[in-house]
Amino acid sequence: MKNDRYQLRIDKTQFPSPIRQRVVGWFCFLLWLLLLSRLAYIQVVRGSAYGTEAENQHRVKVPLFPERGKILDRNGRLLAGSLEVNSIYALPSQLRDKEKVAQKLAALGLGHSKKILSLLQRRKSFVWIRRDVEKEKILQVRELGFEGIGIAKDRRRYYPRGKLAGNLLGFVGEDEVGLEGVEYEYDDLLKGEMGWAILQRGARGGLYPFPEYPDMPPRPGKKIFLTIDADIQSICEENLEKYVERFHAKGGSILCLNPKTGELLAMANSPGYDPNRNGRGAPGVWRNRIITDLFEPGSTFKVVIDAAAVEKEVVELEERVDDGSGVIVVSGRKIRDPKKHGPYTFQQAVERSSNAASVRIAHRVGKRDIYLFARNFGFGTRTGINLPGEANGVLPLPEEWSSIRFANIALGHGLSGTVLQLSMAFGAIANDGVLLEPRILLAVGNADRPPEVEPRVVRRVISLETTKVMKILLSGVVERGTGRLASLPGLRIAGKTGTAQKVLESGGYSNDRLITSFVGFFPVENPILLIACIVDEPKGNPWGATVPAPLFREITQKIVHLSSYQPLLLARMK
Amino acid sequence: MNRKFYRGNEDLRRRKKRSSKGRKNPYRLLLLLIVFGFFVLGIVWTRITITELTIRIGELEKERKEVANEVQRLELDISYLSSRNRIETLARETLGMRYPRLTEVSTLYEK
Repeated sequence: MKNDRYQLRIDKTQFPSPIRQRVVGWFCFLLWLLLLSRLAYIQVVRGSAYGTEAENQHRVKVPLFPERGKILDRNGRLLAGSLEVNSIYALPSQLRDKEKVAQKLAALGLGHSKKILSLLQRRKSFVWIRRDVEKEKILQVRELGFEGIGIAKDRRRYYPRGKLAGNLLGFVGEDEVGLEGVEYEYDDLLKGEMGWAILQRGARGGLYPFPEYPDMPPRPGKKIFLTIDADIQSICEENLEKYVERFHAKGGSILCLNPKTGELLAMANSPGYDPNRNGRGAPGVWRNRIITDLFEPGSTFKVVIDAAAVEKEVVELEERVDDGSGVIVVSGRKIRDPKKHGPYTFQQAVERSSNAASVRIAHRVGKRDIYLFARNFGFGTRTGINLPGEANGVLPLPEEWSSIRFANIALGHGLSGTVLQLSMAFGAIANDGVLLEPRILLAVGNADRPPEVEPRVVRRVISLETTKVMKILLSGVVERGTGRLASLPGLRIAGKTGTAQKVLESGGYSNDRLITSFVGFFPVENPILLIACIVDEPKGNPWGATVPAPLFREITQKIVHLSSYQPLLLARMK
Repeated sequence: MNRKFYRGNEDLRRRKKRSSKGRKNPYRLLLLLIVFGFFVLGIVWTRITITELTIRIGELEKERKEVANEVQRLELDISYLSSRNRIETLARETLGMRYPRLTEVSTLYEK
């Protein structure tokens, strides 16, 4: 009996209440099925959408801005660099009491309250209050806690030497995009490439990098070395400013280059500007007038006439080319020298820059050859310098030259060129008759010192024999002629003065508005430097001999004192 | 009937054997739970460490950027302070130096 009961219990365990348990079982099964199907819906059907949504909540893709490349001079001295700065901005639409905000910000030394208020009252969604603010002030602004006033990390371009080479370097816009000068021309090299990173959003909203998340670091812009020498640039700018002020001139330009390589060592313009300053003055001041502005070169162009005459062997050094009257009549118009003189030999005519003699010599060479020589010396065509806005210059075809125009061209009028074109033409004489392409970019990359560069030859313009004669003639100009004030004891300098009347807008030439110039190179035997000085509309005694020639001497005197040029000069002078 | 009883007795013995095995299981399960718990804690600890280190890396990266920025600022300062213009002005105004006049320069020529 006992065993029977036990047997019965075992049966109960083996076969529990069938209906109730089946119901519960089915219910659980259906519930499980429901959950499974919901899970499948979430994971499979909507999986990717929910996944993206979830990722977006804690992952943020942020752009990474590259560092803009530095601009350095030929000796690795910094001319332009970028910094990450803290800047204060405002969202004017979110500000309630703008006057109070302006006063509080002004109290922190962020500017005048009226100026800040005018910024806040602008109908803009975003305005910068002040850029590159010190850390202490940033903390003080944070403490104020104004809604609509924020702090942003910002990159800013700096030009540590201020006005130095401002017209050459140019500047960048708010977003560090090159707008002018070297900054514009080499923007592709300098700007680098944007990158990105996916960051994890923390509980407090802060963003942190996470090792597992992908990223693409920004590629910084390349460092570029210019051929410019900051010391020579500084000497040129300083002296140009001094002379422009002393002679109450409208402006001026100085170009300094190495005639053996075509490397530009200095490009000074007056008036200049400081690219660090907001506004940077009038747009006209920005341009690099050495390559953008055309001028009639005047007597400095006579070197082309003289070189053509020597090359074509139509004149001898000691040959008398002038009757001493200092006058020549062309198509009924008298072309005269400044004063009467005795009969000139060719050498004397060049040294004294005789107009009458130059016209006579030009006639001996002929229109066609003068045109070809001028063209070969680089007039009427761009030099190919890698800087924005280079002008072509104007060199009319010889068929268009009337007798009087031909005479004018022999005096350096009736055609126009840039300071760079004129300097490269002189450079060809200094470089044994070979015209080179000017260079402003020395190297690109991260080397501490740029490598030596090979000159880029354009063409041979005159023979070696002709350059020897030209050097004798041009050194005579400085030793005995109109360029005496450019001479420096102990240094043989060759050069040529020029004084050109400016063209009036109404037509004809002005009698009192003149452009004076002096282009010279040294040491004559083996030149290392060529300097072109142009002073625009000087007052007082405005001649090429009296204004740019002494300016040349002052610059040369300072350059030869530079430790980097002294041994080079001594070696070349031996 | 006897045969049936005997079979039932065999079943009972098997069940007892199973239940005696079951009595050992709680310790094993506990051990398993502890191991699993440590494993889970290990994962959590690793994640926390990764997060902490990531934050630290982020902070150090920020610090590195600030130092690099400071270096650049100093480079700009050096460039400004070493400019020829500034040094010449200082030499002239503070030390009373000047360039030699042309008459003060003697040129020596090699024979």
